[in-house]
Order: sequence, then structure tokens, then C-alpha cells
Amino acid sequence: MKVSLATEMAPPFALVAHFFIAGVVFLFLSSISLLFLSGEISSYFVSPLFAAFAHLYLLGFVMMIIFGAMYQLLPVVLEAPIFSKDFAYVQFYMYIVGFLMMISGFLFSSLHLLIPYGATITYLSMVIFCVNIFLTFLRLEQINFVGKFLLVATIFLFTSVTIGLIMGFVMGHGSFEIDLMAWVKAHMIGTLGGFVMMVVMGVAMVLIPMFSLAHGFSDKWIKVAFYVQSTGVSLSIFSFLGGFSTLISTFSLFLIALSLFAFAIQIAVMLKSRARKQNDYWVKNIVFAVSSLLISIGLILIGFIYDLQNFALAGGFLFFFGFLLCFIVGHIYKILPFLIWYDKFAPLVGKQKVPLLHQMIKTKVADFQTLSLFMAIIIQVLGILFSIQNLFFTGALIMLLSNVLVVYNTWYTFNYTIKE
Amino acid sequence: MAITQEEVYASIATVIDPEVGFDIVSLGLIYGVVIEGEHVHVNMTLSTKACPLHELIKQWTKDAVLKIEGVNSCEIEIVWEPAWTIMMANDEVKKALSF
Repeated sequence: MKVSLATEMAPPFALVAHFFIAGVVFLFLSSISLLFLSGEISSYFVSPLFAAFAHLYLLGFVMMIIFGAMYQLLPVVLEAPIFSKDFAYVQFYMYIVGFLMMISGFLFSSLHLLIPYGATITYLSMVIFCVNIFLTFLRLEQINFVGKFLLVATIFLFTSVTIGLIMGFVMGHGSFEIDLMAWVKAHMIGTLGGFVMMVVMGVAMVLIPMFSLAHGFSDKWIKVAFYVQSTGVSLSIFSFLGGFSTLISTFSLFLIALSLFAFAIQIAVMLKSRARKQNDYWVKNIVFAVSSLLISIGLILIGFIYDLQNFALAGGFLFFFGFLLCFIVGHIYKILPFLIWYDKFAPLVGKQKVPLLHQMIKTKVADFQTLSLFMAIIIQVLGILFSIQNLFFTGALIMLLSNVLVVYNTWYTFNYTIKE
Repeated sequence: MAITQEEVYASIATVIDPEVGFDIVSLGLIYGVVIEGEHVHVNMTLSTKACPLHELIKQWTKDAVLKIEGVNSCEIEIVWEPAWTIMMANDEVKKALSF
């Protein structure tokens, strides 16, 4: 199977750029909102400010980057163009409008009625995404392994946003009664475990060997992860929505933890077989991300077994930032220069001197940003574990600085010009 | 004047992998060059099947060969056996990638 980041199958760079630019801007905004959450680090209480932050970070940053990466990677993984580029543009603008209505509703109590309408628009935009992806798959005669990850991920996305929409209506209008906490759990498991993690696992099998020049490794662990994760997430959604016994929901979460563990082993196996041994900011981000994933599973397990809220919260924080943020930012540094290089400089090869990819990133800034991000995450996790608000706030400040540097490097890459 | 292997390799060595920063001859990606009169056949591989520049590197290599005086046609064949490993690269590349 030939897989690449950019072939004739890939969509125009302008489309992917929409999602990447929006994602980085929302990362910056979410970092600012994190500064105001120090007072909420010792409880499970979901305040409107927390909801605004969580949606800014997850919907605004994580999902935006994943959508952009999906539109870029899917056609080349499947060796077939995306069904409709117009659908993708419509999805982007609807998503922005709906998502900003939701954020406004969370932030300003007078606008809370915007939440269900924003949620509906966001839902419809995601349905457009799902339909676009499903129709792309429908035209294929066979689906490779990475494709299976992305297809199952999209099915989970469709399921979980439908759950989210119903919750939005119940919260906005109180139309009928549901066990809101159980539905929130199903929504989160479906989105994070089902969509985000399945996409991350699938694309990791393309990107990590590609960037690290890893060869001849066994892929048995990722196969285990695929089946166990799909089963665990499905069982978990059913158990929360159906009000099944705690034993079943606990077992489903155990399956998900097992799958994440298998994924971590697969990454280690790939990195061990890499020809490219430099430990640059990309490798550091991957290693920190996978370590955070494993530690977060441990902290969450301890939190649930011994009923220690701060451990569970610290584990959750480590998953969202130690794992997701580092994994994504590390890959932004690799993918973005390549896409811009391909769009801007590839046609100039042989005609004039063109830059190398790493020259399109301020590498010293990226190194400093990476270290400051690790420091911020460790400080904030300690702040949550020991319930020290000032420590958490200090970490949040460092994270803001780190994310400003991500914005700067993104701007630098987009505006890179050949020096005379 | 007959085209020589040295000329072909030297010309292909102007093709740089922008991700790794080395030319594709030093990386050991060129498995063989066959010269038949004015036609050149290049047998090569890529550092990974997932190489993002698959088509481009193939085209750049062809363009580089066609620049040689006396070459009228060129065929580039990408093969995956034997699979490329870092051991195929020259010492400078090995040192740079593996430190």
C-alpha cells in the first residue's frame, strides 16, 4: 500500500489550512480560559466557564486539527479523493458558527439559549463530515487497515454527536428526562475513545514510521488495540445509555485502558526500530505524550478504585494535555511545513534553491516551546494532585506562553519565504 | 561521447530529500543505473513506502538524468525489494541520522 501525505488525491491545501489555522487560534483562546480555572481543580463540578474551556480546547483545537488531518490523510490512505470538497468547506463554516454560539452560551448566562441552537448547527456540520467520509468509503472496493480505523472512528463520531445533540436539547428545553451524567459519559467516551483515539491510532501508523524511518516492525499491538478499543467503546456507550450494571461499564473501561496500553507498546516498538535516531522536538513530544497516556491511565484507575477525585482529575488533565496536546503539537511541526512546502516550494525544485522542511520551523523556539509545555503540564498535574491553586495557575501561565510559541511558529511556517 | 555511470550518479545526487536534508544517492536510494545508448534506466527505492514525496522524487530524478548531455530518454523504476535500511546510506548520512 502506498501512503503519502500529499498526492494528486489530496484536497487543496487551502482547505486543510482552514482547519489548521482555526485549530491553532482556538488553542490560544483555550489557554487563556484555562487561566481562570484554578478555582475548579479540586472538584468534578462542571461550571459554564469549564464547559466553555473544554469545548474551546476539544472542539476548537483537537477536533479542528483532526478534521484537517483527516481531509488530508484520508484520500491518500484510501487512494481515493474525498467525496466532496464543497461539503468540507460547508462543514467548516457551519462548525465555526455553531461552535461559537455554544461557547457564547456557556460564557454569558443571558445567551444560554444559544447552546441548543449552536449544538444543533455543530451537530449538523459534523453530520456533513460523517456523510462526506461515509460516501468516500462507499466508493471503495476494499479498505486497508488504517482505513478501518478511520471508518470506525467516524461511526463513533456520528453516534456520540447524536448523543450530544439530545443532551443539548434536554439542557436547553428540558424536553424529557435523561440521566445526564451517564449521557455525558457516553458522549465523552464516544468522542474521545471512539473518534479521537481511533483517529490518533490510525494516523500514528502512517505518520510515525514515515517521520522516524521505522522499518520491519511488528504491527500486532495496533491490531489488538483496534479490536479491543472498538469493543470497549461500544460496550461503554451501551452500558452508560442503557443503565447497565457498574460491573459492565467498569469492564468496558478496562478494555479501553488495555487498548491504550497496546497502542503505547506499538509506538515503542516503532520508535525502537527507527533509522532516524535524533531526539528532536517531534520525538520528545511523542515520547512525552505516550508516557502521559500511560501515567494518566494509572492515575484515573487509582482515582476510581480509591475514590480520590484529585487523582482522577489529574489523570484526565494528563490525557488531554500531556497526551493529546503534545501528540498533536509534535505532529503540527512535521505536517504543516511539509504541506506548505509541497504547495509553495515543490514547483520550484530544480529551478531555484528551496528550503529543507526543518528550516521552515524556528527550531530553537520549537525546542523551548516543547520543554515549557512539558514543564507546564507537570506543574499543573502537581497542582491538581495536591490541590494547590497557585501552582496550577503558574502552570497555566507557562502553558499560555508555550501555546503562544506554537502560534508564532505556525505563523512563521505559513509566511516562510526563500531568503535571497 | 558515451554517457558514464559517474555522470548519472552525479546528476541524481543533486536531488535532495527535503525532510532528511541529504541527497538520494548518499541516502543509498539508487539501486542501479543501466545505460543503453541514449537511454538511462534507474532502479531506485524510497526510504519508506509512506514517503510523502513519492511521485515528486521520481520526477526530480528523471529530470536530473534528462539534464545530462546525450540522454534522450529515462525510465525510473521504484522497487521495494530489498527494502531500504539505514545501512545502505553512506557513512556521513549514517552518522548524521543515528547520533
